[in-house]
Amino acid sequence: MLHVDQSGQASIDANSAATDHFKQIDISARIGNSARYLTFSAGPRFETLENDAVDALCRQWLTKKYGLADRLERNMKVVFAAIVVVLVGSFTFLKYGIPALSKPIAAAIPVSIDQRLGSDTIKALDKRFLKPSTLSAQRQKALHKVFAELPKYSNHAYQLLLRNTGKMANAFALPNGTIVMTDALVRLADNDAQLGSIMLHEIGHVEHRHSMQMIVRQGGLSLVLLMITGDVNAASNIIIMLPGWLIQASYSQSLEWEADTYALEAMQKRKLDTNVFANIMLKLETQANAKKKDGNAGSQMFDYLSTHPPTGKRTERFRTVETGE
Amino acid sequence: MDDAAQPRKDYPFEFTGNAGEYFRIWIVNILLTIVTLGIYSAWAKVRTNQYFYGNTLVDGSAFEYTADPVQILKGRLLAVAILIAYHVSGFMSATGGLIGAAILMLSLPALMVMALRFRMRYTSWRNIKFGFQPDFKSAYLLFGVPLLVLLTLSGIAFFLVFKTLAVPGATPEDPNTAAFFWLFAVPLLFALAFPVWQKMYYQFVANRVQFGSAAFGFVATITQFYFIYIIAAVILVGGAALIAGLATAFAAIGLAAVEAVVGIFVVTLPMVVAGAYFQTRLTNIIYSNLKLGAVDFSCRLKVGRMVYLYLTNSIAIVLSLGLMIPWAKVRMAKYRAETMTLRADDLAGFQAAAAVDVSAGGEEIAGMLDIEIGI
Repeated sequence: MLHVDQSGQASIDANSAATDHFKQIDISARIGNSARYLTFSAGPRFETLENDAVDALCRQWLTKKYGLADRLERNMKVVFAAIVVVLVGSFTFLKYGIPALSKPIAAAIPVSIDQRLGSDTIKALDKRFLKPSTLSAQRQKALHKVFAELPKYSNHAYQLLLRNTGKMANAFALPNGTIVMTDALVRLADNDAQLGSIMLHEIGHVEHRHSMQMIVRQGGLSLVLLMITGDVNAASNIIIMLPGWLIQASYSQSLEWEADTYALEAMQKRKLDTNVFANIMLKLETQANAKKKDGNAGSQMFDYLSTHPPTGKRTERFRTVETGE
Repeated sequence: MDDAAQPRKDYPFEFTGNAGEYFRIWIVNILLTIVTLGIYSAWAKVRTNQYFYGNTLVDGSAFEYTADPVQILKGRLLAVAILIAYHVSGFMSATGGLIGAAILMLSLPALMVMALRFRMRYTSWRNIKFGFQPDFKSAYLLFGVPLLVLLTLSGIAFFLVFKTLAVPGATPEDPNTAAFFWLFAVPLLFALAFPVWQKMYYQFVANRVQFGSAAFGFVATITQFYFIYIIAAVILVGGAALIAGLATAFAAIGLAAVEAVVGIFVVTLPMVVAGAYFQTRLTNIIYSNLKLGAVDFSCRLKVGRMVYLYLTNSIAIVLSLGLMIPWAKVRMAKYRAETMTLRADDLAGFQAAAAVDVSAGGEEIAGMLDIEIGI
């Protein structure tokens, strides 16, 4: 039993040698209703589950208010406010905060890093996956001419690389301004205007420094997820991974949308037919669907996990502009 | 005959926390962490540990977590600085990245020892501190020797494979028996040897943990380790085959959509079951083979129950947007405590003996070593 007399002098039991004024006792913080420890200056400790009684003594004898975290935890209003703030706050930050922050942060990173990342990547890709183009020299020259005439504003060292990857129709941009287009895509297109519109989309990725933005966004995302989940045990990793994938896919989709916007505006400025982009997108989708064996079973669900926005939504913009004029 | 005089007594562990109480601690922790831009996370960690330790009881007494949040904050800041330096060096140049990775890897055993020492130093029961001998040399041998063997053997394997491929006109489809033997033999050898290493790892850790002046010991047979690996592999392969069969059946009766949607969840089921089996049995082996002087322990987690807990916890967490994380953690802590028992002839006598000399050698390596860096 802890005894505290009228003057605030405390002892572990009535005839114990260890006495201290209550102010001198080191009192451990209240954590829910787990045991508290009162350590006397001479060393003895008193363990108790009577948390409310200890709190009452603290209020009586200690002038300084303490145990802020505990008082917040036991205030239901604070707890409800915390739930709202944490849910709304983390959603808002992930959805709008990180994308908004990624642009200025990426801008602060030296362009020389983009250069190195790009040249390292293309070296590695050329070694393993990409084979020299099988297109005729004449065809290649024509495509390089299309590329050279497209508007570019930043001083990235732009170059178009034509490569053969078998049946895979694709084009992608590397952060250093290298844009790779596969032979299969060139063959799929009806005309050079379609290919030019895809090049513009890829140039948009480079102009906006999307690779760097994506790196910054992924870093921010893992930081936030770590903060919320804290020390969730390893078995629950999949629970952290699932929302992580969803958010990453949403980031990637928003960057694709931005690259589309770049292409759309560039084409409008030059008074080009924007329908060509919609046409080649649809061709790409038709080809991709034909490759998938079991049609569209469950494909709607996977839209959220896709790195690109749904083609229908993407092409719509390029069509409405034309009909609107 | 003397043994019969003092009957061995069982002291069950118990967990007295509840989900509602921990939820409030958890949500306030997150709120304050966000408001302070992460600084509070160190205090949050201490509060969380204090809650779980403080509600884990043996023989009516709770464990105590006494770490100083400021020390944890320092460790976290250092970890962030190290990671930033590592990523920046990787960004700047490829060699910089390699050097950074090498330095990080070389420091991992030391960081592990420091983290273990930190955690043990600040854990106590009935005012008797746990401890961990900072045996850096053994830690480096434990990780370094297998790594050197692995590097040497893979070096030989890759050298032989590249020599084969260097012959003009050779393709990877041209097998050089010796080279490909190495290419398969090295990973296989390591897979087979891994349980032996794992046992050594737990031995290394457990044999250096102390409770007051009493030292922990860990004695397990290697067959126990191999056994759980074999069963886990059987569950994984058998489960995958069963699921594949079911999926084909669904597809055959024209339920392709069901197959696609359900498939993504069901495919992970054998992995979850095998993982839960492995983790459960490993935990049982580790605690049941632990000795602390005349005291020993028994851990009797059940695989079925653990699978059930993992699955229901995961579903609850996803459906509640994470708000059920505290409930899930408390549920797990309760079950873990329920299945743990401490056995001793004379707990009071043991406790008195362990309490002797508690302060000796406690404070000497504070400062530099007194840090926990989790990378």
